[in-house]
Amino acid sequence: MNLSLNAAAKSVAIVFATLLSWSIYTPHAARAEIKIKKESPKVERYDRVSFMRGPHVMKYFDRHEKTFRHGAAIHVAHGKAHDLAQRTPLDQREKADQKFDREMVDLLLNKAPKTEVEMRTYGPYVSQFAWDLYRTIDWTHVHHDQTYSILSEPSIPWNKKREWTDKAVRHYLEKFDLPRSPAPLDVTMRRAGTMMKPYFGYFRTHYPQSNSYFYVAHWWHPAIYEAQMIGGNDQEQEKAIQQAEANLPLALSMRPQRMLLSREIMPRYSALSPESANIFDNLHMLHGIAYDILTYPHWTPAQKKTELDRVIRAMSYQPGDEKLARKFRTPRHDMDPRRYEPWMISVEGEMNRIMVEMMNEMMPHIMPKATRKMKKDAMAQLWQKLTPGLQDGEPPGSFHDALLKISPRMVMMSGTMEPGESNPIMMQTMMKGWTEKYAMLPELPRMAMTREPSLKSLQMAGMVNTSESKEAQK
Amino acid sequence: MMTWQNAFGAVVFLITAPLFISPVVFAHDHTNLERGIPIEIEDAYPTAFENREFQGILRTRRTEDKNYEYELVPILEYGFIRNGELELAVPVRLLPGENNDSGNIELEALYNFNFEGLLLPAFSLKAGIEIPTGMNATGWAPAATLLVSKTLSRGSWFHALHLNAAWLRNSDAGIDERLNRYRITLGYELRLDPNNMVLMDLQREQQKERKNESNLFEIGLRHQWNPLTVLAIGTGVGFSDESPDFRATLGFQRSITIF
Repeated sequence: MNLSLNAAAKSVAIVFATLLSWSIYTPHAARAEIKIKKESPKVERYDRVSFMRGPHVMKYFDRHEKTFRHGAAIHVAHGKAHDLAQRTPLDQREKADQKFDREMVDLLLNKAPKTEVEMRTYGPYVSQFAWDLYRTIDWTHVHHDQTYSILSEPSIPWNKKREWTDKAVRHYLEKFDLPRSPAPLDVTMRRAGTMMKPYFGYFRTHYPQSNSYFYVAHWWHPAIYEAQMIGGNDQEQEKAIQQAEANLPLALSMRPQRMLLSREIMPRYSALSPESANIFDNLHMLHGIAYDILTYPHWTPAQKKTELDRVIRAMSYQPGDEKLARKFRTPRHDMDPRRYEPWMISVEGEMNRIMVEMMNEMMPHIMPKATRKMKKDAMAQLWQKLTPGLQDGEPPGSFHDALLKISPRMVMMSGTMEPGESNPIMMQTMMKGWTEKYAMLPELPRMAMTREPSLKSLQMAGMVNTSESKEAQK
Repeated sequence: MMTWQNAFGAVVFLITAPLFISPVVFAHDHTNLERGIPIEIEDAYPTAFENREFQGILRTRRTEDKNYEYELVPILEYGFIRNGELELAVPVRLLPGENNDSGNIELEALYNFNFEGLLLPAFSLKAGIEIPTGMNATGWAPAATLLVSKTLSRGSWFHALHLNAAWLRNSDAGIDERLNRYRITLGYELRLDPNNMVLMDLQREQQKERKNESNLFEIGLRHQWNPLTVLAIGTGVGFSDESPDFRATLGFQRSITIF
């Protein structure tokens, strides 16, 4: 009897411990079934929303005007790139790419505007058939501004920054019907399922200069957040931002060859608000996908709108996304945003790790009888497509076409290449792959905001990786 | 010697100047054209949902009789529903004469039905009422306006056409006054750079007095001074007998952030 009581107690303890560890580590596995509402309204609503009020409003502009202006110049480029991709004839792309890049670099370095622009004032043609894309982008840019301003506002004590940032995230998610998801890009990219679409990589291939301009922009944005995070509320914030800003010409001359993610360039901010950090990654990825779709020459504006609407909705907030927000790692949690390092330039990094993972998850299904060589060739093709510009031996056109040459019997569900269509089996396969790899990943711990950071103590405590920095300076 | 008009201008400047440097307001409505800031044309788009904005217009015009008339219009605007806005204005007129209707309360609501497509323009309807709370005011004056906007751009150069067609009713019309009248405005908007928009319009309006009609051509500039402030300046000339000789407008827009 005693024995069985002990056994019962042990059983209860085991069940309790299992439940406890389950609640700590996983329960936020992605939903098994993914249903993205298929919606592409013929007539769009204007539907704009105002910003969140608070003491922070416009502090970013007041305190860091030059930096604010750089952000505004980048947003001009974002607006303009839509019409560039959509309106430029095939044979004029090379010249148009160089001209756009030249003009936008000049605007950024020499003529940065003093106010933010709406997408439609610089990409007015595309606004007339893809308004949901523009208002989604504009709304997320408002969130950018709000969160920069919260970190800029000295009357918000350091230990209240999270509270205000969380408030801004709630405002962003709740007031707007198509907010970007707070889930990591690993999840939303699998949901969007764009890799096998015919437009995949078109902008990167045909507009390599303009594409890498935006890769610089997506380094710059998080670098500024991170400079605020190491600078604190006092004057060191100005100092840290100026030091990060000083790398802009260097970054423009030696551009990143991949889209840098928040977790790479702003690990501290990502730990402060992973939701906000993921929202930025999801916006930056949406920029890239939108440019790909607009560059693709074989669809009408109506078809492009249908596909854009599908992607916008797939990468927007879905119930439960907030539970996945902390399911990622920060590969360099002690990086120094005031340094522009060689690892930032490489084509290898978090973004392309996600793409390779997705490819590995898809391959057994689309190329079930592929030999080792075919798999190796397929992966080599992917890396070529992920690298800006047309590489030696890279066939022009989509990744899908390139794979067909390697594996002519590739299995694809009929119709899934069409605008607005997705392949639910593939998406679920990839989500299953993500769940297997990352659902058990411990959640990213929250950044302790109890003590305001100081640049000096950061250096002394070895919180910034100086060895690599020195190497980079060489 | 300072005329009363100059004195008035100085007082208005002193009253409005603090608003331009106040840290409590924020404007993000640069592309949203408002009637009178700085010219009559208005676009078919409302202010953002939940935006609260303070606007001010200072207008002067020279009449046929070579008199100068001044008008100061403070306006509160609120995005009270999605795609809709409410406006409350109290125009104060300082004319050489009796200043009839000065201090009337004007309440307007605008609702937008769609964002424009490649062919389909954007449409809004605006309903308003002028409440006779001002000097020597008598009747209520309802109004309805159809607003249409269409972007013309086929490249990245932003420019757009706007049409406003208004029906105005005078419920207490005198014997020489119209009971119903119209006002049609056709406007053009062009982005010069991120901070500046140039606007032009042509307006034809039936006056309250029977047989009187006015035609006006206006040109104006909207300048985003900083993210806090939109400033606007405009001028117009009339080109028929009953039209004002000349008209000039200063305007500003700011979103209120204190509540």
